[in-house]
Amino acid sequence: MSSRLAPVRRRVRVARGILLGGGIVVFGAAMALARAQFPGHHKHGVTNLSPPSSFVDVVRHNQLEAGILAPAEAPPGIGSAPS
Amino acid sequence: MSRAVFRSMGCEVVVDGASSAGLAETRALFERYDAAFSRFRPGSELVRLNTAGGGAMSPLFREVLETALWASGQTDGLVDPAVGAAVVAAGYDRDFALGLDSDEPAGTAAARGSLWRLGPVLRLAPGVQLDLNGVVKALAVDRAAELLDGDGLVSAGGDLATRGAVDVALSGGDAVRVNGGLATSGTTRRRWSRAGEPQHHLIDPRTGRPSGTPWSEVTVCGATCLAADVAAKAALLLGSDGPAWLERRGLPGRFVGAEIVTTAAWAGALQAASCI
Repeated sequence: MSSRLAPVRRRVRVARGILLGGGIVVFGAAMALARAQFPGHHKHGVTNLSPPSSFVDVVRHNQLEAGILAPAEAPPGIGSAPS
Repeated sequence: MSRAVFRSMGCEVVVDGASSAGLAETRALFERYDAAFSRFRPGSELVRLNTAGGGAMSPLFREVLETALWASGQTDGLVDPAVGAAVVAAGYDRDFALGLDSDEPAGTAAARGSLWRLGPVLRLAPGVQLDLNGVVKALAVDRAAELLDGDGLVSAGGDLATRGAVDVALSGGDAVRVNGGLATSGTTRRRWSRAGEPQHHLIDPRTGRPSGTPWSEVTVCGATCLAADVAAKAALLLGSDGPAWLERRGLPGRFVGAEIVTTAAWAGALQAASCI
């Protein structure tokens, strides 16, 4: 009797393994496809909405702005002196 | 145009074009800045924070300190707020009017140091003393110029901000028309002697000693008095590299030393026949 049951049990184990493995593969594939295709999923790393650092560096590089200078047109009413 | 003259921050303040209410506001503004940032008024906020190595800062102090740190960043640390201990070590330890000459030799002190800010709380590393004079006067001039009703100017000790074009006399009989800010930094004023060795107030943070610059004065025209003053100080401290430093930034500058040197922006502006 037991000799007749052994092959049946082996087939059952194999069938369970196939079903389990197949289920894992199908689940993984479904998740990967969902991640790649579903609009609500992040497909790439998140980036800041702030300006690129290179742009910020250029803007910050020099805020010492020049004033407007021209030849004097009248006798000066004020003088600049060392401080 | 009405002109008012008063003394504050150890110098003469000239205001052209202010209404009587605006003038009162300007006086109050300078008094507020002097009360907070004087190195010689015992109750000033600067003295309190330097003595205690830090503490709670008022909004005004925070704003000016942030400006000083901005200036330090713009000048690669040449115009630095942490030079207070070095200024004192050079002998500038009391009001200039009291006389600073002494037979004692000048000391040395670090002119750079750490400070930490957490919101309104400041902490200074041991030995660090703040001196915000590198920006505070120019900042007060710019704020006061904002109070003018129309065209005019505000000048404190020769550093000025204008609204509209103003003709300004320079050393050597030269004159220029300025719209914006104009500041002159020099080693000919605020000089004293320690053990026979001449000292002045412009500390080079790289050495912790009064700068050995070849320029007796540097004048810069900036969009604001603050921009002009910070650039003039940095250019003076850089010595022979000063003109190139201004050239790279396109700033009009005039250097007085053994000879007068001007940047291309300065020379170009004076050659142009255009009006402001």
